[in-house]
Amino acid sequence: MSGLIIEPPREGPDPAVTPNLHRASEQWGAGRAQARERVDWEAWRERAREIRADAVRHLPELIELLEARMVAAGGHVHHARDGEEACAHIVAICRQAGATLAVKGKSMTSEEIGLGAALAHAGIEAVETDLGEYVVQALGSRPSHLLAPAVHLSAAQVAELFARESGREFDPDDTAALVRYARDALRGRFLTAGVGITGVNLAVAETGTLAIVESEGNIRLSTALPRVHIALMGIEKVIRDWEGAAHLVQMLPLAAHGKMAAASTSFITGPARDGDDGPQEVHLVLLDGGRSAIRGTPFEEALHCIRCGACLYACPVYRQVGGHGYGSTYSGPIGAVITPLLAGDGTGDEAGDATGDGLRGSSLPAYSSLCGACVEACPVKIPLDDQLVMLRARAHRGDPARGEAALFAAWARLWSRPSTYRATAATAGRALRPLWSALARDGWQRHAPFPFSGWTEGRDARAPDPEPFHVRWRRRRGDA
Amino acid sequence: MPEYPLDEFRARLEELDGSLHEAPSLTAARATAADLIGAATVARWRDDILDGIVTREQQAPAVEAEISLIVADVGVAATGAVGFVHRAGRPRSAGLLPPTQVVLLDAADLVADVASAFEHVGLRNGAGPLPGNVVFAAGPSRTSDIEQRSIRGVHAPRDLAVVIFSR
Repeated sequence: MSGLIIEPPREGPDPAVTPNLHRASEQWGAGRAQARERVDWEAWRERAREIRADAVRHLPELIELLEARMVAAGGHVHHARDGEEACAHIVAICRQAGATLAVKGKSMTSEEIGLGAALAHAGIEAVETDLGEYVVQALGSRPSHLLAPAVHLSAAQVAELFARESGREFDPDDTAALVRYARDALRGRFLTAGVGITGVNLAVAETGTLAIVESEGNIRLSTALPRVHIALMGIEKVIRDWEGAAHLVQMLPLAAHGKMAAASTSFITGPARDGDDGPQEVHLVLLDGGRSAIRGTPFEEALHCIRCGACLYACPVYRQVGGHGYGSTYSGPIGAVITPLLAGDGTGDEAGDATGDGLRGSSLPAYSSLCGACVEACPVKIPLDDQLVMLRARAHRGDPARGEAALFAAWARLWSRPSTYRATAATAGRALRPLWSALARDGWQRHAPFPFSGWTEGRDARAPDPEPFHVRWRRRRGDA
Repeated sequence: MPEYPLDEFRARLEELDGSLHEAPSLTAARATAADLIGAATVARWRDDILDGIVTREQQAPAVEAEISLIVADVGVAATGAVGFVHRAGRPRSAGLLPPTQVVLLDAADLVADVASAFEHVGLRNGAGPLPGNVVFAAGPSRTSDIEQRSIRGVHAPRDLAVVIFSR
């Protein structure tokens, strides 16, 4: 089972998405621009790219070193070929610890493997402790951004949820009161949970150290109070040494929101010792999940990603549709690249097949205007636009739909000439309009009839305009 | 190395909504900390530097205390962060659970950048085991999860005061 591909939302667009997203992307964009004046941004990007390229190129040996050093420090390391194995490891560790309650930090990797469902199935309650994730979990929603999981929700929705939970009234404009409620509601969970589960931002192979950055302090609590700490990490997050770590722990917040440092950065080398009050056991679950297969292919650079989220807010498509529009765990430009890669065999040749939903995964690279804003935003210089183009090409190579190719060729011939274009466009519009309108709601077509049904499986379509642009143009110029 | 690391440290820390208090001596730093704390209940680390700041009656377990009184192992001018090496007598929970944090920092432990800070607290390649847990805190904990409104203090401290002193 893979949690990578998720059904697209069938309900209409959330009215909160657009204003929230736009505000967020503007704020974060301004912060990033400011921060870039403080450092030699291009030199910093190049250095970050080198560190990540070195890590991915030497991945097997660095993973081996990380494991050896972490075990020497008293930690435990578990290897998982796929999400199912990773979930099984985590469930087994929780059971062995006798834990029925786990506090969980934000981790997209845990979303990728469907950890929440696996723990629930095993009878282990896993409470999301990041404020945004807590809200998203309580509302039965899914995170819509790598770093800002609740960016698609409004304060009013949060206030309503907390009121329902507590029986108290909340003013949506009193954000501080909402945050205070979440703090109080979760404090008891931190104190009683047997296990803390977190992701990992990077791991230093040389010393077996896990680095985790955060804003809220929930990671620090999850790695201070429960008796057992389980860290889940995609294998590509390992880096060689501390010199690289010093650069990347600054690059990550700088690329994400323009701050010079995250509010907290934890460096964990094995369990508590020397009378320290941390966890007695530290487990690292290393997930391959299709990553190894991407090494050595033209898509290898996609593994350099440090999950800062910069390409999401930079992307005009993401800003319009939001994270949920992609229907996948990872959204935005990087999501459109790695989703088909992780779901397939890494080469992109059979993109999406492993999920049993080939269409979904392999169609994601089309969610881009190829404007290149993502490439400029990327702190490790992943050529996302090139990769999107390559994935598009591969999705259609050996395409059995010969009929589709012939149709497009005929269409291209007809619509390349003004005379044939006018004749056919007007006819098509007149013919389709009544049928389309009968099935559309608020001008949006959600379930088009065959042969157009495939188109609306993953997206809504606008009804055709009764008056094509070229007709309106002629009329307005008065020479119609 | 910037010419005035203390000015840079102050600027970065204040940007992040932390406050910096300068003291000419350890004795003065203790007095400043005592002023900041007042009559509040305190969870403190075991360290000579912190002696004589709060009364025995003021001391409380970390889960109940209003203020944590701790010592930074390093300060980072470039980021405004303070670093803590957790070990015996310096538990993670004491610096984490109380909503307000008062941190003493020896000016000799202020370094220019992140790489120097790692070196300073023993996070480096090579021989010997590393400290089990090192945390760098840059300003109070914060969230922008609700409509991007920035709010201080979520699960970790809401207020952070650093008292820097020379010996």
